[in-house]
Amino acid sequence: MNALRLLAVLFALAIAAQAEEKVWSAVILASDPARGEKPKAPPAEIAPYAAKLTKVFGYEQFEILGSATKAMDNQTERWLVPSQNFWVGAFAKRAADGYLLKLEFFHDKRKIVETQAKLGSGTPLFIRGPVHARGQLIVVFEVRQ
Amino acid sequence: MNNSEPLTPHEEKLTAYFDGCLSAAEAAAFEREHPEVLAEKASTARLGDVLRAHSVAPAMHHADFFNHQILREIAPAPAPARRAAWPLWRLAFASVCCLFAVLGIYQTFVKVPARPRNFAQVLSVTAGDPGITAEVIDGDGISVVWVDGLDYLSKDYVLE
Repeated sequence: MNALRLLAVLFALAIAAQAEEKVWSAVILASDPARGEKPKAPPAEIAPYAAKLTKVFGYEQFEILGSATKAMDNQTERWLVPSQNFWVGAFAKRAADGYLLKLEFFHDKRKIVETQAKLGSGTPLFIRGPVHARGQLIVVFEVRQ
Repeated sequence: MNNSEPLTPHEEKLTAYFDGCLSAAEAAAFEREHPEVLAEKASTARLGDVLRAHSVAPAMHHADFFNHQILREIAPAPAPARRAAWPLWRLAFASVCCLFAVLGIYQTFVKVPARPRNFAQVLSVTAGDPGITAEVIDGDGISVVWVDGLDYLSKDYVLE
């Protein structure tokens, strides 16, 4: 009987843990430091990927211009607005080892790209946005708990 | 000669002489020291011949019983149960250890490293309009949708 209760509690905890999963999105500005200055430390959210982003995009410092987080309910499309100029429509469907996300990325009113990707916790997806006078804009998506 | 007393050295040697257990040199030396033994040996030999020629071996009753008793007495003692060099649980434990060792070696040296965990799996990418191109780049362990054809944003464009 006690084992059944324990199983029920574990099951409820598992459901609660799933319900708390969210999609985090952010607009990142990648740039180079001013001449003679050292690159700024990356924000904690993207620090684990900073070195890889430097290799891919060629910029040494990264700052987050804006971010948004939405809980995924497995049923409806959510709109994430990490900044005034960029927003994302996200529809998440739970998969075996993460979420199957359908993402639509807009810049102002222009649809930039539509993609389907399988994302797990700690497996972000980066989208290269437009180049600004200050540097390269990058949008990132990540499933978080 | 009393049966309960041990034989003297001379009696022992004499018995060995009669039984033919001395070497030729020892027998010759013994005969030189005790010449009377020659006659005794000849007499004993004659007595033996007479007994063998005229006496009848005693009849043995219950031969099977005595054979059984004799065989039981001379049967080798049963050997103590031999312990297995490796008891079953030790064999099982060693097998499991070997299995883990092999798996460890396989994981470390043989198996192709799994895809890094921070790799998102992009299933499809579609550019938003014909002026844009989009492709997926697996860049050093991170997934990037690389979009080209976007407008350059001047410094007047406010990023908020």
